[in-house]
Amino acid sequence: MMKKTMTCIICPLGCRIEVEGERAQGYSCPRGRDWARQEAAAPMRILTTTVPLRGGEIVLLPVRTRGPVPKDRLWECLARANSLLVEAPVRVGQVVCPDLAGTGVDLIATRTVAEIGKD
Amino acid sequence: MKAELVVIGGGPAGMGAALEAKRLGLEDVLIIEREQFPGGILQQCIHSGFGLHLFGEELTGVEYAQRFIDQLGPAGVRLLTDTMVMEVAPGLVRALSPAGLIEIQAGAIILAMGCRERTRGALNIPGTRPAGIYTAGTAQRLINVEGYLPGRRAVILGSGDIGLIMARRLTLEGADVLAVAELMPWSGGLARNIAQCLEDFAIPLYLSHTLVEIHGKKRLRGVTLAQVDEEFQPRPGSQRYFPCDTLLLSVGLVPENELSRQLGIELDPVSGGPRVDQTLSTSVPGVFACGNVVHVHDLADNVTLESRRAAAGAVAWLARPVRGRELAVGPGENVSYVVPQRLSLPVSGTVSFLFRVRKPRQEAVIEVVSGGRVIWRKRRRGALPAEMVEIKVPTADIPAADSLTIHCRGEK
Repeated sequence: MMKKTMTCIICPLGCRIEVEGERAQGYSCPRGRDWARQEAAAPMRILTTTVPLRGGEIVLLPVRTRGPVPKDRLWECLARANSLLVEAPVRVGQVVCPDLAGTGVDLIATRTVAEIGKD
Repeated sequence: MKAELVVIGGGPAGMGAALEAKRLGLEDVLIIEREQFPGGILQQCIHSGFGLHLFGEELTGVEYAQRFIDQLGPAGVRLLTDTMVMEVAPGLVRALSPAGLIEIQAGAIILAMGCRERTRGALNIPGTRPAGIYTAGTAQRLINVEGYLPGRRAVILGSGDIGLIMARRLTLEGADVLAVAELMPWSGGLARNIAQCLEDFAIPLYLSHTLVEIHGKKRLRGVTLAQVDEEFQPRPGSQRYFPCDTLLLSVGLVPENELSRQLGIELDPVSGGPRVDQTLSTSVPGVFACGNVVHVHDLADNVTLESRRAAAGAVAWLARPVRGRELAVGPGENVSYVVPQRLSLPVSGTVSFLFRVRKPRQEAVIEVVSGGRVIWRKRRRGALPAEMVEIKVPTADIPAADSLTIHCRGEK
């Protein structure tokens, strides 16, 4: 079994974790342990970006995937997000693209934006 | 206009302080914000990594700000946006608003102006003065808020968190990031940002490197990087040319204290912010400060926690405007600064001390010393200059001495 060493990205501590099969060491919390096992098997990341917004009091809507998506599909997810055009108003947490690029993960707004000229 | 409490700045520190002051029962709390929307710099922080401590979930900076913005109205906090404070005196704030100059009588004032980025001028970088050189935060605003890509091929100087975040952001927006260069032998950013912003995208990090020349006349053409020796002088023969059209500077943040200076507030030359006590009271009675205007934090969560202490301080001072005897707190071995810089007696419960180490330590022993005696000691796994250290010292352990010194000893 291959041993993998990684820096945990779950929290600012940044633990160095070694994973060999189901065995992980160097983590300091259960979330870190679970993340490391996942990272060794199939790395996942949260994608954050912006999409164009029409009729809002700002021109770009910040968005993110609700949960992590496979790291090797990040570019596909980004391409799909870049093809979107969202209409204001938008509420934080609103789904702007369900099942982003077939990952099963929704893309959601991370900011509330009113229509331009309306408060 | 009148307000019991005027908060200058509507970022995480200002919103946190205003909401806490309302929760503690103040009637009339006013935030003055110079931007169009509250939220401060968080509005351009579209990346995640916020809120883990405070909300138990990972939020983006924008979402973190939204949580507080959504509470302002229901809590009854008054908010003036597009309004810039020009002058502060004890009990008085003058600001420029779209309606003209306004004057506000303030019972107490909380300074929450945040910080600014260090610019090229502070670094003495030789070379020409072409377009294409930005601070990392300016590039972040251009890309994330205004929708402009500053360039196609970039080099980033400095490995602070904003620089690392921008390396990833530029990459996702289709630019090539050729290098991140860091003067020190260690990174200025969090380990997780090295992993998820650089390693994920195979962006090289050059430690112990600096920028020795900027090339290009109208637009940046390239930069020359070189390795540095122990004295931070470029090693002859180590120069390497990187053709690029964009240079981002991520070389540190400076608390924004023009208003504090105007007030005659004592500043700490190392933290760059007002010298405060455990209630975040500055040297001027009735004026408090919190967040990055006091010292640059690595986490917004910590800014919020500090802002709540400042609100409690201001509310207590409004009820009873007296100040007790003071005890000086100072940095000792391998500590660059400590906040608070003094304690106002009496103290009760536990006191939080926040500080930064000068050099990394693998195994650290934190010691609080008073009158030559160690009054408190704790072991800690690792201490890095990029990470703020917090210790909570029970006040029962603090003697009625004149001063405390905080040390970070341990193996390199």
